[in-house]
Amino acid sequence: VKKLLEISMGILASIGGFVDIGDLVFVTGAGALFGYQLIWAILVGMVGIAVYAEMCGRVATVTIRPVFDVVRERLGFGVGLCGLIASQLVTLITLTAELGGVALVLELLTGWPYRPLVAVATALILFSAWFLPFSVIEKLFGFGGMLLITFTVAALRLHPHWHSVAAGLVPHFGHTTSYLIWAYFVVGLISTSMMPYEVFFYSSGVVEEGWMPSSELGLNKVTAFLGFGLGGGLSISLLVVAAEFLFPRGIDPQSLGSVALAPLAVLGEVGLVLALIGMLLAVAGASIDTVYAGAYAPAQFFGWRWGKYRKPSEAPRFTLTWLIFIAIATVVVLTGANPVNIAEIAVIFSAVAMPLTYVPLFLVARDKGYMGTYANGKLANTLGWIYLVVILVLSLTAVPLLILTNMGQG
Amino acid sequence: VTTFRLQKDAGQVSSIANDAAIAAHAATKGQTTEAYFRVHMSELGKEAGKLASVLGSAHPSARLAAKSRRLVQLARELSGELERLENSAGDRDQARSLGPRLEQIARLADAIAKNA
Repeated sequence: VKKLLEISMGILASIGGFVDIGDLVFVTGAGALFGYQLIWAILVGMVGIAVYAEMCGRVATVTIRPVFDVVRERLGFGVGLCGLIASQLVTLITLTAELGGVALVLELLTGWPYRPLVAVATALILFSAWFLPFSVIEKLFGFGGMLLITFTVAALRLHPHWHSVAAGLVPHFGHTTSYLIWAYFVVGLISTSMMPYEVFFYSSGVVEEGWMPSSELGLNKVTAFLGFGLGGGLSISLLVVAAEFLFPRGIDPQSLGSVALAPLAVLGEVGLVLALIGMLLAVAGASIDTVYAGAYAPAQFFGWRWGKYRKPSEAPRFTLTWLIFIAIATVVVLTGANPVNIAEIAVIFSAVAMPLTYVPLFLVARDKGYMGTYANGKLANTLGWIYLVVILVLSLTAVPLLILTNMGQG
Repeated sequence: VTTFRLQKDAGQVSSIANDAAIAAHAATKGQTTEAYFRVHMSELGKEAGKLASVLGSAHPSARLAAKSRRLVQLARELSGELERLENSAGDRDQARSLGPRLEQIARLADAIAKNA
């Protein structure tokens, strides 16, 4: 029973931890602009992250080596270093967006001025990362993020057109004339589900928690597919709410306040407050993931001592790296840069950097000489190859689409 | 200012006005928090003000000049109304009195977008 409870808690935390500021921005924007048309893109991203999270969890469990250890081995030092630099830049931009997002949601909740709230957001992330154990972080932010289920309730209260929802599962242009903007949102929706920091954090967590092949590979599979899978359900709720409420009214959400408009209109004050608290905890949870991801990657690449379970004095370079990450992100947010725009840039550039993370991971996961009986089976290999093609297409098209569509504004 | 740009900007003015009208409607019924309402009106007001300033500094062709001027007026008015709502967050009567005008601005901007 205890084991079952542990598994259920892990899954719930994954669901709550799936949505970040990139999802809030891209998913709501996609629903407001294209109605139900792009649900399929969320599903593509959801299956993609589940496939690669399962692989990275399995590789980490079997070899006790997280993602960037593997990247260095497979790509060599030079190319691996390029991958590390690209990933670090994307993770830093993502952290900046998440941190600014926390301050923005706090502002909507309290009405206090934005800049002091950036300091509060920084203090919250710093305190959580320094003092709270993983189990508390997982419960507080993972379960708290589950309050986003308010959007699911709002979606159901809006009585969605189920026929249109089903039609959105199949890729089509509908009445769209802006094909480039359509493509931009497809790239954004898939990329925001497959942000590399998620696998850095997940695989490092597996090593930190000391998972064993004999007992935890099943848990890895269930967490990856059920946790990330159901997390995708929250994203779909966001899209349905936007498609049902914002799309017919011609509202293009440019701020997080507009994201919370539908829960307010449909569920009243309680819906608004629950949605905002869910957004706050989901985005704060993602901030902590990115803080650690930014320190895990270089520590694993250069062979430093690392780990959340080590005291800061036992892993000084690891600790210093994440402190520097928080400091840089705070300074950038304080300059007044809009976190919503930064989130869009982070998602698009993460698409560019994705192959450098996922290609070496896939190569190791399918290598029988390395993984033995735990290497990819036929299904994992087939999905891995399909997603490798998807990732390469995203990587090549993301920046041209960003420029050609003026960040989706036309 | 091209027809496409004018349509996009008019759509944006309509979007902001509709968004604000829904929030004002909720405020009228006492269904929103004062903090959310004030901050959201401020966000929308800044967007409307930025849009008005960009539109005001643009040079439309003769064919679009009248519509462009009208849109600038609407964007400026919208920005002003949003500032009033921001400053009187918690005042249900103010929200009740300004809500219909916000809806009207949205309709007028929509009409400009459609006829551009």
